[in-house]
Amino acid sequence: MEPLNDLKNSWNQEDFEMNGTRSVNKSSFRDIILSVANRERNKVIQYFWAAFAYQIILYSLFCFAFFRNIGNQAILLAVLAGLCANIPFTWALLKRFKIMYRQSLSKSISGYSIKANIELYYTRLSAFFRFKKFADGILLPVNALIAVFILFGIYTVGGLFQHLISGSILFAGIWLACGIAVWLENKNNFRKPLRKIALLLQEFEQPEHQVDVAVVD
Amino acid sequence: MEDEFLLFLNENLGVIHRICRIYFPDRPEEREDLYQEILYQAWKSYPGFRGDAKFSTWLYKIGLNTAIVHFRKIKRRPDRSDVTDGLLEIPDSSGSANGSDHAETLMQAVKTLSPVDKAIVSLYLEDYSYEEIAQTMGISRSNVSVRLVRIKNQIAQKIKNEL
Repeated sequence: MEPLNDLKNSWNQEDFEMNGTRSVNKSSFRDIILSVANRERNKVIQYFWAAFAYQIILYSLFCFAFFRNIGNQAILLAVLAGLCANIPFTWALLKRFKIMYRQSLSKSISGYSIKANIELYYTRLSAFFRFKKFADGILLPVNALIAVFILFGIYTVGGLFQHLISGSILFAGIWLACGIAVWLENKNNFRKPLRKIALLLQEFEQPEHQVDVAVVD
Repeated sequence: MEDEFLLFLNENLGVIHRICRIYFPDRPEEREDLYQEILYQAWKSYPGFRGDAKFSTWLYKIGLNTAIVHFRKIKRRPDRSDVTDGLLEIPDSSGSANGSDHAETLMQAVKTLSPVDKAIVSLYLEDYSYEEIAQTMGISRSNVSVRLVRIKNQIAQKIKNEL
């Protein structure tokens, strides 16, 4: 193993130089921890802002419809149905995200191999993604339908049932727009990372095949 | 606990430097980010360190895991320089007087390896036995052996192409 032995020699030399010149003191250590913790928190907040923008629009519509149409039973029922459909899913999604986030590397690393940790990470991420897809699959059409029902109930004479064609078009439009947004979000936050991790795991299994995953970004 | 962690950490700081170096030999910004990320993950994981393995082995696992899966390229922010003053100027031997051209060529060849192969190489360079590499990585001993032969050939080929 000549190239690796050459590398080992230069490696050991470098190691000596590094160890002799670097150390971490308490103050700089705390600065680093704080900086990375903030960065991590910002990433989570960034993810949730995107998800919450949609939720805020939805709940604002429900509140607006509720206070504007206190006497209209049909709209109140639609608002109630919207709340009943969304609140449990939002709560469950937040809870699962929190669990997944907290059960990150720190809880599992000690007793397991690197491959086992990667598998665990993959399992957690894919379980969360499965639940999210399930929630999105139900909530997107339900919310689009309720939103259309409320909008037509408030702003048109006769409500949705008198304007079925335009209502259907609006419903399809909302569903499509939200569907594309969710698809893009899932692609960036789940499908791509999961695919990369799957490739990594595949590489662990198959030493004889070259798998091109050299880029970590 | 913090004092104890820092004591262990400073004794084994080279582990983090080496991982950063092997994953990002010529990208100092990513190296700094990875360095911070490993430090953070190690601190978060430290309560789970039971001492049944050497701290350096444990730190290697954390570091390689972070480098392979958890590390994503992070956009650098303008205020980062305050935190990184001095401390995070991780030695970059790519242009140092001590680093030979041959060593640099080798590092360039290592750069092209996949993340998993880089992890195996870094453990090999640390004199871990095939058995220990297999255990740390979670693969069979024969898998380690096959990979190291393949890596050697790959590096040799790269060097040949460079010449």
